[in-house]
Amino acid sequence: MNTTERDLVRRLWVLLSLAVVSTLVLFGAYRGVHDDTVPLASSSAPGILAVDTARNAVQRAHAAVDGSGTPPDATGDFHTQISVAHQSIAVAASENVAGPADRHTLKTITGLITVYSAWVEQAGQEEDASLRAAFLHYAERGRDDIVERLDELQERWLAVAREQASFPWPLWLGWGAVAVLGLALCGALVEAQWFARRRFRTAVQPWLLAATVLWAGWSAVLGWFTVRAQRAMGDSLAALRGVRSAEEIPEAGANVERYMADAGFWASLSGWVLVGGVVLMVLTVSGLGPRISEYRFRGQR
Amino acid sequence: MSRPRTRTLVAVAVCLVLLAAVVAAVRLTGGWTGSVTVLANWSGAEREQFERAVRPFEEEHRIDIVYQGSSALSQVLAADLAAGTQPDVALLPGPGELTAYAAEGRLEPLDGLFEAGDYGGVWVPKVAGGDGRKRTYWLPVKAGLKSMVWHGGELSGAGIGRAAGEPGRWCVGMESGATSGWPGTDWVEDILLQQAGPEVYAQWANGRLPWTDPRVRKAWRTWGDLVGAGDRSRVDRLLQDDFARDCSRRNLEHLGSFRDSHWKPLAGDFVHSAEVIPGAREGAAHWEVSGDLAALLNATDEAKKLIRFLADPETRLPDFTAHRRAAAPDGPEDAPRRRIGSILRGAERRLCWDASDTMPPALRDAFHQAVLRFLVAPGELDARLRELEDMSVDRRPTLPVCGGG
Repeated sequence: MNTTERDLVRRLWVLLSLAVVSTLVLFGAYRGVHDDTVPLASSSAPGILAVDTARNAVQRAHAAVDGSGTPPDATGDFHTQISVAHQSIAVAASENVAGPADRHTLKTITGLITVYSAWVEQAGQEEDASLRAAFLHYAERGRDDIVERLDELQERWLAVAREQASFPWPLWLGWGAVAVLGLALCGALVEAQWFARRRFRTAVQPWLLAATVLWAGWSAVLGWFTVRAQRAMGDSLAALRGVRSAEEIPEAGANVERYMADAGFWASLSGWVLVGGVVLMVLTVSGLGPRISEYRFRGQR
Repeated sequence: MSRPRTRTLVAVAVCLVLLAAVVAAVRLTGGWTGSVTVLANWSGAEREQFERAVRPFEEEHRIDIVYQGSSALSQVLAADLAAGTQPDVALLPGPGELTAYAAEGRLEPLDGLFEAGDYGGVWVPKVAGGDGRKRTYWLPVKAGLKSMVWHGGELSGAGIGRAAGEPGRWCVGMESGATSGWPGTDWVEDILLQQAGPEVYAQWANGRLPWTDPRVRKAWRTWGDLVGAGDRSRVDRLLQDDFARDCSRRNLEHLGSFRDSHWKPLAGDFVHSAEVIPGAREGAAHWEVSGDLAALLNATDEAKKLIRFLADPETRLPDFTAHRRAAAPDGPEDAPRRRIGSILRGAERRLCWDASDTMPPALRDAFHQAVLRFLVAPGELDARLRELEDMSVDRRPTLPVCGGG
C-alpha cells in the first residue's frame, strides 16, 4: 500500500467514523427534544385544560345555586355546568391523557361531583331553612374537596409539562456534541476534498461536496426545527400556566394548538436522521472509494 | 474468510453480558413490576399513615400502590363496579355493603390468604357469595372502638355525669362530606345498645325489629334530650360543624377511638358511654365497634400479596388493629390506647358492629338523613321512623352483629 492509498483509506475511515458518531449523537439529541413535543401537545395540554374546564364548571355550577341568600334552586345553568364538568373529566380521563393513577383520581372526583350534586338538589327541595343551609354547606365542602383534588391533579400535570418543555443539561451536552462533531465532520470533508484536489488535480470531488452540503444543511434544518419546537413548548407552557376564567380556556387551547401545530411533523423527522447518516456515508464512500480502488489496481499491476 | 479470533469472541461475549447486566439492573432497581389500585375513605393523616405502612411492601415487591381516598367511597365504588373498572382492593367501613357485594358475586374470596383465626369471629364472619357458599370475603385492616365518651381527664365520674346532662357541654358536629349525619347515627345506635342490650340491638340492625319499636323511639328521644334537638340556634351550628372539630377539654365528646389523636395532647381519657347514657341497663358493658374492611375485587397476584401483607401483624396500619398477635401500644402516655387495644382484642368483652355499617347503603344513607331532620324537628320523629321502616322491609342477609370479640 503506497502513501496516497494509505492516506485515502485513513481519511475514509475517519470520515465514516465521524459520520456514524455524528448521526447517532444527532439522532439522540433530536429525539431528546422532539419525543416530548407530541405528548405535550396531545396529552399534557388537553389534560390541563380539561381539568381547568372541570374546575371552572364546578365553581360556576355552585355560583348558580348560591346566589345572594335566595333559596337555592337546581337551575338549568347548574345542570349544564355539572354536565360540562363530567364531560371535561371524561376528556381528562381518556387513555392518551391520564395514566392509571390519575384515572383513579378522576373517577373519585366524578363520585364527589355526584355527591355534591345530590346535596345541592336536596338543598333546592328542602323547605326548612336550617336544613337547607346545612345541605348547601355540605355541598360547599364537597365543592372545595373537588376543586382541591382538581388543583392537585393540574399541578401534577403542569409539572410533567414543565419537564417536557425543559432543556436539561444532557440536551445541552447532546446538542453541543452535535455542533462539535458536525464541524469536525464538515472540516474533515473539506480537508478530504482539498487532499483529493491536490493529488488528483481535479477541481472538485462532487460526492464529497454533496456530503458536506448534505450534512451542514441537514444539521442546520434539524437544529432550526429544534429551536422552533423548544420555543413552541415554552410558549405552550406559558399559555397553560396560571389561573384562567372559563372564557379564557378555549383561547389558551387554540394558542397551544397553534404553537404545536407542526409538532407531529418535527417528531416524524427523527427517523430521517438515520437515513441522512446512511446517505452521508454512501456519498463519502462514493467520493473516496473509486480513488482507493484506482490505487489498489495500480499496486496490483 | 478467516475465523474470528478467540479474543474477539471473548470481547463480544463480555459486551453482551455487560449489556444484559445493565438491562437487568435497570429493571430491578427502577420501575414497578405491577400495581394495585386501592380505594378507601382515608384522607389526611390516616392516608399518610396508610401510605407509610405500605411503603415497605412497595419496596420489597416493586408493586405500586395507587391509592384514592374519599368520603364518597360508596358512590365511587358503585360507579366503578357498574362500569367494570373497580379497584383491585376496596377498604369499606363496615360489612353492610360488602355483604351485598359478596352476595352479588362481586367479591373474590380471601380464604387461604390469611388466618381468619387471628381475629375474633365478629370481625371475620363467613358470608354467602354469589354461588351461595359461605366464605371469608374481608379482612379487618383498621379497627375502631365506639361507645366512648371522651373528656379532659380531670372530671370525676359524677362530674362527667353532670356535664352530660347539659347539651351545651357536648361537642357535636354532623358535617362529614357524603356521609354527613353519621355521628348522630352512632349516638342513636349506642344508646339503643346500652339501653336495650345486644340482642335487641342485633335484631334491629338486621331488620328484625321495627324502627317504630318503642325501645328504638326511646333511644332517639334520649339522644335528642342529650344534645338539645329542636334548639334552633344550637342545631343550626351543630348541623354545619365538622364532626372532627376541636373540642375543649372541659367538654365531652361521643366519638370513637380515632379521636385519640385529638384528646392525647389534652391528657384526655374516656369512659364507657353507658356511664352517661340515661336509662342504660345495669352493668351494660357492650362496645360498639367499627372497622375498615379490605375486600378483593380483582384477584390479581399483586392484590393477593397486598392482602397477605395487610394481614401480617408486623404491618403498622393506621390506628388500631383487631389482630390478636399484633403488638400493643406501650409507654405511659399510651394508657387510653392500651385500653382501647385490649378492648378491641379482648375476648371477655362483647363487641357489636356499628349497626348502620351493617345496613344496606340506601337504608344507612336514609338513617344519616333522618338524624339531621330529627335534630331540627324532634317532634316529627314518628314520621322519620315510619320512613325508615318503609325502607327496611326488604329481606337482607343476616350478619353476626355482636360477637365475643
